[in-house]
Amino acid sequence: MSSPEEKTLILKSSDNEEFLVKESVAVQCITIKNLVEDGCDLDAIPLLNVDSKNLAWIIEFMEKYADSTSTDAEKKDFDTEFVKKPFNDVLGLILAANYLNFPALMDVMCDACANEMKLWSVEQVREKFHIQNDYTEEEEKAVRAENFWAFE
Amino acid sequence: MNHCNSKYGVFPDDIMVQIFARLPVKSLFRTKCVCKLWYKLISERYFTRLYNEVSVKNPMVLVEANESLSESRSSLILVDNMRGVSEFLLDFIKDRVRVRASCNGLLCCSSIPDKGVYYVCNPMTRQYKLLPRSRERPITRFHPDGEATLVGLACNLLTGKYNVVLAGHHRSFGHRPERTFICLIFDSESNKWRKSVSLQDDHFTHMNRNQVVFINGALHWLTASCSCVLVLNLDSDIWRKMSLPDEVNSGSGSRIYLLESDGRLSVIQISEVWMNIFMMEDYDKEEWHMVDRVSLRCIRGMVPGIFPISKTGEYVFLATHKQVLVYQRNSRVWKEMYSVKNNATLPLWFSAHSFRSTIFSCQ
Repeated sequence: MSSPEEKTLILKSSDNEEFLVKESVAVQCITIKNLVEDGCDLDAIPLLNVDSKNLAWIIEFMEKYADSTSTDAEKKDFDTEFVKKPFNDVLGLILAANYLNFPALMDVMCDACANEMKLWSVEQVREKFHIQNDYTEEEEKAVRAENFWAFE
Repeated sequence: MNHCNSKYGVFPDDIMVQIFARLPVKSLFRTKCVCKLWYKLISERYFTRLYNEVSVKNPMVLVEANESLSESRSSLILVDNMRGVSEFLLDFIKDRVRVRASCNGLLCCSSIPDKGVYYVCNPMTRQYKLLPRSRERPITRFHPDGEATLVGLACNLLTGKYNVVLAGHHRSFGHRPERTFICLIFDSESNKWRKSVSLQDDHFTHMNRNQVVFINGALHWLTASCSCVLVLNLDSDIWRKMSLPDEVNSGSGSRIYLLESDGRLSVIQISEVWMNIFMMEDYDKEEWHMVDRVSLRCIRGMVPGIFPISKTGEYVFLATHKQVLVYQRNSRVWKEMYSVKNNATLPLWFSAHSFRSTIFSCQ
């Protein structure tokens, strides 16, 4: 039940879709909190680096975490399901959480990313993060030898 | 350019380190092989601090589980509330060693064949350092292994420096204990030992093994007479006493243990049917509060042989002769995390230490 003073914000994604969110929920994103506190009086808050797909997910997450009736166990179950997304989407959410400065989401998504990453070989990591290997063959051999125990 | 023009362009370094900080140690070190930039990011002092800040929040229990007394390899079992049980070997130290102290990811070990020889190691990164010999003859007491009465390890996560403390009484053969209490402190920054001497005080003569807490720049030991906490400030090398919770002093027939919990001192009192948990909420005022009173009815048979080893605000790890148990405070549930398969002669609690996995360097 929202009180008469409960304010609703309009968040606008980079692809111009508008989402209605209660202010008390949206301020979990420090970036939005700062805008509100600085007295931003725009009709809609433009989030230039977040597209509608990501914003919809972020709002879903925000509302779950702002809900005082959900227990820690329920949040954990929610997180487990929430992170079951293709890896590129996980990366996209990390970037968005970073841009919006949303610590809780950042924690959950970075954990999820690390959990996937830890199972991969060095080559797989390069592929998924689009990293060019700039070691020479000898250099790579040396680094692998230095950390041989990590490959056992 | 290291990164091709993917949909996300370059993934910023400050985000990558947040992800690295959540990798288990082995995976983290493999990640150094991905590219030179990542090697550099992971090797930076800033990152070590960040990683340790995250990993240190997960206390575990470490026990030395040797198959038999004649087993030459030092095998460590690590019990983690989140990740279960894993085994580590200290075989990278080419010596038979016993773990004497544990702090923020480092272990202080003494050589079994060579009295007076000490190592500091990180069992996760397999880095170790042989400490220079202190010029003192080994400190002896009436102790099964004849080594220093007190061993403490203090690892400062902010500075990356550590101290090893060996303290006890000199006792010449056939004589009564001398009055002098010798304290040797190794400083990783100077790579040297320093010595301080004080006069004997009743409370110095008995100490609890394995339970020493390093917080606020000081090492804290519980005296076995359990009348106070002995504190050594490592900046000043000054000893002082701290009082225990009032309720603990008045209890009789109960056992007291000193642990660290989320950066604060905690005392656990175990009687026949209760486990009382105290926290020191205000360190400067030395104020204790009882935060929980746990019924031990459901593990009644184990109570005489159960010892708390490690805890956080949410759970307590305890060790018995053959098991490691965890008590979850929120759900009030007891769970067995590990049990010894065979008939080990030494009880698990005898060699159990609180442990946190970090990438603290011992060089």
